Amino acid sequence: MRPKNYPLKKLGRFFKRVFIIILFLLLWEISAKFGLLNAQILSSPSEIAINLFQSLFAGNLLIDVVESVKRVLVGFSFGSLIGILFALILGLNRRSQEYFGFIIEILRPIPPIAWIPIAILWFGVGDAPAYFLVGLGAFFPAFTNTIKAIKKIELNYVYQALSLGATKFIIFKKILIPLVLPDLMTGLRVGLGVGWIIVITAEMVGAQSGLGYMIQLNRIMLQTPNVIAGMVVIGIIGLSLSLLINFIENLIIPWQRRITNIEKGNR
Amino acid sequence: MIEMQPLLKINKINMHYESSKGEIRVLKNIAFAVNHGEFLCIIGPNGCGKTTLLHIIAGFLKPSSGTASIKDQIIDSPGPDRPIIMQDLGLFYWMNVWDNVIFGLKIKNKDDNKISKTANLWLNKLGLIGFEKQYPFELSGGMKQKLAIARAFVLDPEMLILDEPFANLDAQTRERMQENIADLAFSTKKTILMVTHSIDEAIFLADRVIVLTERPANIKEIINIPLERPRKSEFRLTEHFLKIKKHIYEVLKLENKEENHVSNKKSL
Repeated sequence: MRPKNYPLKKLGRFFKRVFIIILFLLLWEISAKFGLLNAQILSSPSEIAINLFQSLFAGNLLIDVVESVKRVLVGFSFGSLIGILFALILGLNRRSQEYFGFIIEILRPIPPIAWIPIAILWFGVGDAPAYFLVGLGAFFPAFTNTIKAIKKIELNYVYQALSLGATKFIIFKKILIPLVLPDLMTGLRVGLGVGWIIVITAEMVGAQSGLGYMIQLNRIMLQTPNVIAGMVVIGIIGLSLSLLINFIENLIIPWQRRITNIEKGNR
Repeated sequence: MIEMQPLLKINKINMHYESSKGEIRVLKNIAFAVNHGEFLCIIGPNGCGKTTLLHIIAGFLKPSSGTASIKDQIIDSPGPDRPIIMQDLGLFYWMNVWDNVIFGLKIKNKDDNKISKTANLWLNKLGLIGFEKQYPFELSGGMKQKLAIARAFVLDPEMLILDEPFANLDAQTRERMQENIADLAFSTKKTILMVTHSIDEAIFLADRVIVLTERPANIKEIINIPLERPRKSEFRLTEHFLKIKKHIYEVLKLENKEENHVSNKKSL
């Protein structure tokens, strides 16, 4: 049971954390003002904030954000979808797994970033290589988690459903999909995280737009505040993507949360 | 009696598996019949093949030889005319109580009004009203049991197959559940085939008790319990009850000792 003053305690903890962050930023600002830090290497927080807002209102930052997010979402959607499809085919058909399972296992240990040079060779510079690389990064987690989930489905549930009159389609829809969803969501979360890393990396070497390109360009032009401002934006978007997955997960797996609640209650 | 034909006929079923250690015989020449409206319990040593037999009747497994037929139709696949309640109940934990109950109904019936009417009727009968939005893991052991029973009964099946459904309950809940299922079986006139480990449970519930031998299982003895159902809980303390219990106990004990499975049929 939670104590009666639980919300109050939570609020107190929140203010403690905010206080520490403010203290840290203050120290940083003061060190920069008194010349303890080299402004070329590490700008002051106020300078970063000013640059951030300037580029935000100028509109060029927004264009980069849209470019990067578009690349990650398109690549992620395609990659995950293909991963899920492959997992379903291989997971439900033993023979196809014998033939194709090993190919995926051979390709899996190659980090998606190692594909950047060949992706640029194949697709040139711009959106296409980014879609390909992000898709590649999203494919493997979606595939492995889905196939793992399919393999651990307890046959008892299938038997029970058959005994209650279920057809194959109903078993797919009402038994297989709900039992695969939790692991699949884990795969999607990882895939989206990996995708975000890849898109920034790929833009640094093979694109003319996007947040990765933006911070790389500003480094060359010695605009350190802009580099750090870009990093802040990259962090905020990464966090938002992760929160988006959490939101979707709670929406489509409502029972998951209630199981965890019960487990917490028993402890 | 108008219907003279038994509902379920088990015709000389044999079952063996191939394994790395050679052939394992599980069932040997099992033959019996279950009449309409009968409550039949199967009891036998651990691991003797009771569940295998139930899975053949449910249609999950095909026997090596022999047939099981319901209403003279040979059973070759699972079907909602004889839903099984498994040992672990097989409740779908990702669906709430309501969705569990209407799972089979929705397949059989397309009329939403009818579905919710039937579901509500059974939820009411089993005291599950108000729990519709709960998930199975949020229910007590007895409630889970009732949910599994409701989910099978809503289908209005020919018969129900129960595989040690009360094994995980505490003694008091277990007796209450026995009384519940006895009342339901009586009021709906449903045919019930149930495997159990508990001699008391079998005697309290069944019209007949089949005692199986060690593996490979065959029928050791069939014991009639010619007493009207549903029985009162006081029945558990009567001389008659204890006499039957003693008899089954001895048959089972004998079975555990015997190495060569000699079948000696006897009637009480």
